[in-house]
Amino acid sequence: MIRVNRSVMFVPINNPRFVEKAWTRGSDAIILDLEDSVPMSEKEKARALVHETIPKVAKGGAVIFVRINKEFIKADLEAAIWPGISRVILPKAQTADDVRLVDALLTSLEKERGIEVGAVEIFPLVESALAVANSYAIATSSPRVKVMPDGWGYDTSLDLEIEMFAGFDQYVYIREEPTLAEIAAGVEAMGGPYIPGTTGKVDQKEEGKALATALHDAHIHESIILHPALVEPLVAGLAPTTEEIDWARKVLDIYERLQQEEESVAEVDGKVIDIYEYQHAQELLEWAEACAAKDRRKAIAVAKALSEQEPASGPSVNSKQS
Amino acid sequence: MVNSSVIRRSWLIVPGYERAPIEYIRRYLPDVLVLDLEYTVPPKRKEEARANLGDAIRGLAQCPSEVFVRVDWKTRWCDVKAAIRPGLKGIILPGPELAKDVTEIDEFIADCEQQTGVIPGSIELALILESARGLWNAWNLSRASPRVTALGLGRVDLTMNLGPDPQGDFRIYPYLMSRVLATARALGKQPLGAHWRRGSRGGVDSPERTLEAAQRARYMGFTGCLCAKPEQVVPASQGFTPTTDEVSRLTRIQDMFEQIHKAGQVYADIDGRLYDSSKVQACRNLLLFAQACSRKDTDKALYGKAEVKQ
Repeated sequence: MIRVNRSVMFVPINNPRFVEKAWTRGSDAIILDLEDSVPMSEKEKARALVHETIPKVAKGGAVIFVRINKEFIKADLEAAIWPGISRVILPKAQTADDVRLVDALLTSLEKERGIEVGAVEIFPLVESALAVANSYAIATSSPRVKVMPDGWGYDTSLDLEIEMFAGFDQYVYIREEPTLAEIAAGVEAMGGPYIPGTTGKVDQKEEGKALATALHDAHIHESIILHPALVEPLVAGLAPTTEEIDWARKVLDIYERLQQEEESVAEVDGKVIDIYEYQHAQELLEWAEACAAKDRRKAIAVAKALSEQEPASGPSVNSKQS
Repeated sequence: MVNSSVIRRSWLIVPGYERAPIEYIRRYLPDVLVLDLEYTVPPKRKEEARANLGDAIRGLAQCPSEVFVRVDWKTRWCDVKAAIRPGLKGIILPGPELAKDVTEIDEFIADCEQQTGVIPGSIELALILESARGLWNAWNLSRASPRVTALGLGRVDLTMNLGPDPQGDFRIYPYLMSRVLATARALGKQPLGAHWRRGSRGGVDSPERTLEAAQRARYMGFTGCLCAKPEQVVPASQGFTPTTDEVSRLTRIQDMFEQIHKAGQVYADIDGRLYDSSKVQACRNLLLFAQACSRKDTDKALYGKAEVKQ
């Protein structure tokens, strides 16, 4: 099944207000954060919250991930790996061994807790110069690594002493090298393209739209976001448009006819139709279908949650579900 | 360093089944003519195309374009076998991913050379990288056989499904170009590729956009690209050739520097820019390249005219 995680929204697990509202945001995926959102003094308390928080944030049909601490891998995984968690975000992965350690711990926890072995993905964050250099090794370190980001981000910037929002693209190598490594390794590369004029604001709907457009154009299906305002633009913007779907259907049609005639290329409306366009059309339609199915699952989950909710007591659902 | 002895700016791809590929040379004058067994040949004509190569290559014996055959990765063994004969300059191999892919082809070519009386080791290989794996392994691929004389960036926007970024470049495409360029230059291979951008279907793009793509690629260090349409040949050759303005500017710099140098100075201030001997050497190299392009174009033009008169 194609995973549909158009918006992957961070939720600080130690903030009850955010946790309570998280399911109403309409995000495809939610990350329960044990790392940067949680001060050192509250790590233990935060860990203890994961088990009960999973069903709360999953009510809207989102899949649930957890971000652990590099310093507390074992304790965090022990506390966090329960049915319902489908991905572990591993910050500051430096080497393939970092990932293998998490892999081994996951395997034993999965066995212990009735989760299918191998079901939990690992998402290693590329956050240092060393990680960029090791990106191919990290991408091939475990079959649990299905999707990976590039090296863009605050931590890499810190490590390399890069000024993040300088108004130009100063990340060429640390973004593109891991991306190539990941695709070469057969891993989905979800790192986004450079978007000019980024200010670092995380709560702007307009910026969310620009981000969604840029990702959609670049054929990227996933984005991590820090603010709920970005959920809607991403969920809407990363799904194919009806025009794209119509054109893809037409391409399939024309190409299949070409094949019957044992031809391989045609030109329609000034556009080339060939094996490449055919493959893209197929991928686009599969993606469109997966997005629609995800939207349906979320809508059903939300309807169920609302019907179980006592009238006027819970938060209102403010995202569109269709 | 510019190699002025080999001028291969435009590589025109012509379906391998064409009975008279010579016509393409007369009309379009590509630096390299590529008889294709891949993309432009539909499955039902593959066999016909292979069988046609013998006559086609013989018919191109005296022409000023060099002749390559592009093989299909899936059928590379029988394609290579059908292609190798006297008169063939080299094979374009799209899609290798591992060094072993290249050494295997190298050995197979050696066998074919022996069987067909072609000078051993003379058949060249132009590797066109089209997958992330191939690009990742570019260095090892290029070193896998001494036959490799060119390294190209293939249709990666299509094969790797790279959509455009907000600046109009396909995602990571400039980086991939840089990677191919650095690898090719480090190993003394010709870097092949053009800087295709948003809205482009590279190999089949319009003459205007081909000119832009080739010009940008030249400034990035590339020296030639594949052309799927005959109309792309002239703009591709033009884009990879220094313009007349550039040539006169470079000539002026060279002359002025020589005078200043004779006067015992190391730096020359020319039009507000400071030149030293290494900068001027770069100008000289480019001028040599421009002259070689011009010789190549003259040869081809003479051939075109002579052929028309016959």
